[in-house]
Amino acid sequence: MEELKDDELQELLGRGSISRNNKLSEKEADDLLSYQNLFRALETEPLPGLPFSFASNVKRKLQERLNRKSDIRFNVMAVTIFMLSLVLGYGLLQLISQTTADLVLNIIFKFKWILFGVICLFFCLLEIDQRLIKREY
Amino acid sequence: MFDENEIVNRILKNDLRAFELLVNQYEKLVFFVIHRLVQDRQNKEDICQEVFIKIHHSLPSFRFQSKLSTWIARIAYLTAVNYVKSTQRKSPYEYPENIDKYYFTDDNPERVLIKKNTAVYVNYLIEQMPHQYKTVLTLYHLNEFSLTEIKEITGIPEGTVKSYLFRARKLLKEKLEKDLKEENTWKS
Repeated sequence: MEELKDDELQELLGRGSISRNNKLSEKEADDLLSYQNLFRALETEPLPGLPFSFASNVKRKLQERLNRKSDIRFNVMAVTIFMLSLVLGYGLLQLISQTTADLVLNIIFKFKWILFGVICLFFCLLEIDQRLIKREY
Repeated sequence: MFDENEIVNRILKNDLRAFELLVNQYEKLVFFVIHRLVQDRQNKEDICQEVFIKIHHSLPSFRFQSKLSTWIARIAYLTAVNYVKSTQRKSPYEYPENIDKYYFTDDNPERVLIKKNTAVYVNYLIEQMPHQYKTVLTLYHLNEFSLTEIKEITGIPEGTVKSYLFRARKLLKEKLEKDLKEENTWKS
């Protein structure tokens, strides 16, 4: 029975349909007061909240992630274009002069590690540059 | 005036200023959910940031079938629940399997110190409750969602939400009354 009263009081308070005019026993009036205090406390915002700069911090973090994503896309595209242009160049050279094409291929094979190193260095510098340079938002 | 349709459309066109406005509008909603469900004080701001980044990422799939606030609250709730699950071993509190059997344990020195400010004390008591109670109390009283919206956010049936809400409030009321009585006995 008491459980029901509790539920009823909560329900009435939740709906805001309780007033001083309601005829309540002493126990019910005490319960009502307790619930009113509790409801007030439950509606009090917890402190401390988020910092004032929270929205701009989120925006900055998001911008960084979006930039990172676009940098990765750019790097993958750069590698693909570089490889394709090498293949295309070699193909064109084959059409123009097969001897020169073979000569270029031999040179490439001869200095393959140096060429590989130069390419890796270029992309490493590109990556470092993207990471270190701070953009202005 | 905050027009959710316009803001969402601007964000979808990569307008970060519009996204900042959305964050400003809903940061309290997200913070209340994260604050109540996540114990780890240090990471609360980081988790709130992650929630908003998830929101930006998932916004293209938002179809306006529910209110934007409900959709955001659901993302915040699920993020908090996942975080709590991943750090469950670190939780300082233990709950019975059937949360209807939950009750507050005895005082400790920290609790005695903060009893003087009711709102702070209530927050302290809520912190110790099972996460279902914390969730419904926060969504209903702080974020002012209806029972139907809480059902949408948490996936908990409406009747259960209502019963959690009543039981959680009753537990808090009884605890506050008991403390008040003890304090009066101690004074006299």
